[in-house]
Amino acid sequence: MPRPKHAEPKLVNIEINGIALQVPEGEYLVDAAKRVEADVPVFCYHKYMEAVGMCRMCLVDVGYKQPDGSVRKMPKPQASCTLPCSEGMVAWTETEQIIKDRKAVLEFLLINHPLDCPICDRGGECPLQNNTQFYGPSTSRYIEIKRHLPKSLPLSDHVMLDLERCIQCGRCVRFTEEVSGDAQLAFLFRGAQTQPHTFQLTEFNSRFSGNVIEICPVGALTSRRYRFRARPWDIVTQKTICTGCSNGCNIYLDSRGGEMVRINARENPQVNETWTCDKGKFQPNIMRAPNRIQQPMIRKDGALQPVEWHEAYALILERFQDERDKGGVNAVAGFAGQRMTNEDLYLFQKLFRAGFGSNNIDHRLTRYQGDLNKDLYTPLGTFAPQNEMRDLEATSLIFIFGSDLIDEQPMVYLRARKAWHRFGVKALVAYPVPTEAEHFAENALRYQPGSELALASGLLRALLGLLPAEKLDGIEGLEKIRDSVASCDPGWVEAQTGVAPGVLERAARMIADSPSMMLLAGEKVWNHREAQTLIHMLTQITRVTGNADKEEGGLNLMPLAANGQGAIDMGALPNQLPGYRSLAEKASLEAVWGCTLPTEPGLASDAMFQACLESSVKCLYIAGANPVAEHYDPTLAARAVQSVEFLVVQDVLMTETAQYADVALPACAFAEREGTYTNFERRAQRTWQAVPPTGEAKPDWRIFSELLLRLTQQTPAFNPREVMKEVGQVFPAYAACAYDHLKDQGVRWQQG
Amino acid sequence: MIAEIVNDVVKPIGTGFKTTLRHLFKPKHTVNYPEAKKEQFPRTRWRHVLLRYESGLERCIGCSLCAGACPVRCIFVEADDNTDQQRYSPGERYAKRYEINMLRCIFCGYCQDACPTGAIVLREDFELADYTREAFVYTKEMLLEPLPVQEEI
Repeated sequence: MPRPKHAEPKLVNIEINGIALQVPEGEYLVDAAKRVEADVPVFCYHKYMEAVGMCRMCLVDVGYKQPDGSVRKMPKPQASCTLPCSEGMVAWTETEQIIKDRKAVLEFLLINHPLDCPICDRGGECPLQNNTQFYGPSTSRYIEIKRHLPKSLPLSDHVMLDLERCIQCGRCVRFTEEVSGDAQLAFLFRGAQTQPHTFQLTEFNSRFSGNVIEICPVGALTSRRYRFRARPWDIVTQKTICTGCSNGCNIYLDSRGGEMVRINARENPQVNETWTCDKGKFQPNIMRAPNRIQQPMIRKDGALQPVEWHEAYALILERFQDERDKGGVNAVAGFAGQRMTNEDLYLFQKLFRAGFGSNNIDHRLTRYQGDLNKDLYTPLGTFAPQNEMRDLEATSLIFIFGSDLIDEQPMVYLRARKAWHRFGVKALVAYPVPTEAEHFAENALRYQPGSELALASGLLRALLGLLPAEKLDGIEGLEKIRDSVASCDPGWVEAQTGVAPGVLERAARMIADSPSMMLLAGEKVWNHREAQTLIHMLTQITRVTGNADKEEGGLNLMPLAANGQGAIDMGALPNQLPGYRSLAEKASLEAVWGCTLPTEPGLASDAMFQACLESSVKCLYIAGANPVAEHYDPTLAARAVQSVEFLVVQDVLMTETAQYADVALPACAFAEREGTYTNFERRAQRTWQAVPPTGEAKPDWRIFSELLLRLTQQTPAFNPREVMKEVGQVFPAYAACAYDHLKDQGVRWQQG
Repeated sequence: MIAEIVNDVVKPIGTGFKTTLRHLFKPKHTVNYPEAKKEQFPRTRWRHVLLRYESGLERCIGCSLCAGACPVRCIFVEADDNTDQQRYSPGERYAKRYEINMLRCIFCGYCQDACPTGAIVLREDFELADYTREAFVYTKEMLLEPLPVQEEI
């Protein structure tokens, strides 16, 4: 059963250490104890995994209140991690018996533990060390020889296994079975020989292997990358978020002497729970990449020469203003990258709109470059993506359309898998090749690459036949929809997509029978040849099934890069102002900015690059993007950046695009600056500065702000906080995302 | 008049010289530093030394506990993996870099207390003066005990 989103849990009265409290029925006692700050040490229990009660560390004395008011105690201590709270439960966590039991459990665990804490990477942040310190015996009565097993055994490129240190809590094994679902690890052998390993002693091959390092309560599983790099007291920990994809996982970035040494997950129940993906956790240290742009550079005599910032600024403004005065506003264009923060993107589009008076600004690297307002938001009546992460658990069907979820959105994959595993949410996958998500999907539609539109049309036609008439009644323009897909019968769909009529029928029935459906659309939709029609078709599917206005259902076109959503919100688009305003609604923006804005829509990225080739666009400003490598048509992008007369590239690394730059500006990497990112569920989250900037690099927003100051002579923003305040004035939904409200977990902006 | 001169001038001078004369034949408390040096107490805490095992392997395993215990954070340790080809210490881990900033050190000896292998000890060498600030950052090579001389058989 899917978990209802707004269900009020039933409360029960319990008592812990003499303190009476109310907790939701079924909450495990170990969690309830945290509410009264009673210490219950654990090893095997993990909040986001099934409880198993393997380590016996969490023993407590338990009793139940009898009708006559007396308390009947259980004869033996109970494992609190597997004991759900019920009415009248009474628990004691610090009785003499419990203290003795904990000592005994720890003495047993330490019998074979090598106690090589000084060289163990876990030393200093080790639950076994801490629990022994607080609850354990100071000496051991075991004087015999300890068990010896292989040490420093590489399991994969990321994970190192030390079998001697393992205490067989089973957290790692359960993680791969329950959470990541790849079931790579298992306990081999039995009794004293029990050891966690991959089944066939093969490589530990998982997309989420880094998590087992963090959940291991001892140093049995350690990171190969962090191995011997630092001890916990050497490092500075900074909370921030990962900018690898649009999921926005909360992380801790640990640095030693200004050098990033590792990334750990930070708990955010709304986003990543406590997980990270390997792509994020073991991301290359971009801060120390050898090909970083260290200082501003100008091309002189065919080579980029280092200059001062003010020289670069002067040249950029001179060329941009010159060309604009000569060739009109269409002679200049800006391309924004999706790795930039909301503040950067906002100031970038302000620089072009208010500074140069041009709407030639875009961020899209995909084939779809239409007007999202017209194609998606107006028909749906809401700004997509409609859902948040936890809706995955509340919906009844997850329809993954054209997305290799585990690769594009790893955290959504984990949450979708959890929804299926824990709450029995069904899943349906449509993708040309087998993907990981198929493992838990009830039905998989494998279609010919590029035939997404035919498949969607066929599905819509089948749905219109299956859905009961009373459900379809209120749909506006139903006849038009019916006519548009009338020719898409199952035979035609099979010819086009290769999906057999029976499979299509089954999928359509699944959708028709589900009370709610979350449609997750990915890269194959953004990059479809007829993306606009395809998005329209998906919108219609969402509408006819009644999911457009359901809270736990809806259409989610997931952005493909870190701040793809922020770029749309901030109006880094040629035909849309910040806050989803069309160009005609510029009056309120003019009031805040104090200038007049252009009404002509600008060039979308393809048209922009084409114009560069035809040299109608003379000056191109690419900030934080590498279209030569990432554009869906790299040849077009490469030819454009080569032929454009004056190219400014502002980026962290000397990318393929930056090679062609006439002016290259160094930007700060994500951990060197602060800002906010909006993840795919519209959650604005803060990043903090963790390490000092490299060379003369500046945060992007500061570069734009300094350029704007030279152009408009207005008081510039002095920090990202002020930029965000201005965004709140321009786009009222973001007023809730001011820095004072964001805190650690971010805020999901609501459409007003 | 003469009596006054004797009482007020000659007598005090004589008393002074008497003290000098008496001490001339007593054992001396000062030494002729730097030609001669005083013997240090066995537990004196001065310059650090990184010890070796008799086999020549370093005792230090690069665990950084000394750096954690140091109240002035003057110790920097960077560890690395021992390999069978390049073995510095027994076990998996050794100190690739070990530096002590002697200007900051207060010679409290906490590092010696914290060391799980007895690698770092504070010894009698107290002559630590130098001319540049950089010279006070003692590297692992400076701190490490010289290799034991191989006995000829």
